[in-house]
Amino acid sequence: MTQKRILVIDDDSAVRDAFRLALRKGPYTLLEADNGETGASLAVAEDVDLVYLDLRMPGIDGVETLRRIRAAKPDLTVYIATAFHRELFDDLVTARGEGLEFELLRKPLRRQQILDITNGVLGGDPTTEG
Amino acid sequence: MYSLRLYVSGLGPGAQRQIAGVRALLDDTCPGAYELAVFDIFDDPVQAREDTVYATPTLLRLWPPPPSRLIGDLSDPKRVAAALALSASG
Repeated sequence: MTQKRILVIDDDSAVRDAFRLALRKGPYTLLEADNGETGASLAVAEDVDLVYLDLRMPGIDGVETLRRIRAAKPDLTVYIATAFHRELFDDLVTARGEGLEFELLRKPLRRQQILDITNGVLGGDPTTEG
Repeated sequence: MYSLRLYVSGLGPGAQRQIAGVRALLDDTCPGAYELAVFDIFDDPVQAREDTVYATPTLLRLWPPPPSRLIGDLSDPKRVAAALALSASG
């Protein structure tokens, strides 16, 4: 199977570690960025299949990072990671108003959930019970 | 009779494609024998938490048991039907 390339953009090293550990045995190559500026540049410059993007980061936030990615790659699958609360969703109202497409990922995540989602998006075994 | 829930992120063009694709699959596979409820997570975050949805899109099959779910790519009808065991006899 061809190695799929995944970019994780999160300022929290523990989150990046969790993705790395969850995906280490899958057919995936992981790229990492600890801020939105670097992450957006990597997403644009590199050939990646999937981006996991933290919503709240120092410097440019997830929405601005998404805006920069979308300007170059409108069809790249981007998951924005956030808690599922209306207050946090308010941060995404602007992005929705601009017509920016993204999927949502609920934080915090267990390793198995990271693997399930990644397999489901990139074509591995997709189903889980319940 | 199948009972399903589809969770999407907003109702933009991408989500509309996901909804239309699932409806087309159900109409083709089990016409008249399903109930599909669509939830925009932005409008129903509490419902999403109750259904332990942690990513979009997620398609839940609630009935018949056992419950199952498909997360991520819903663009391949064969893959969706196989993953949720959808058939005309459901």
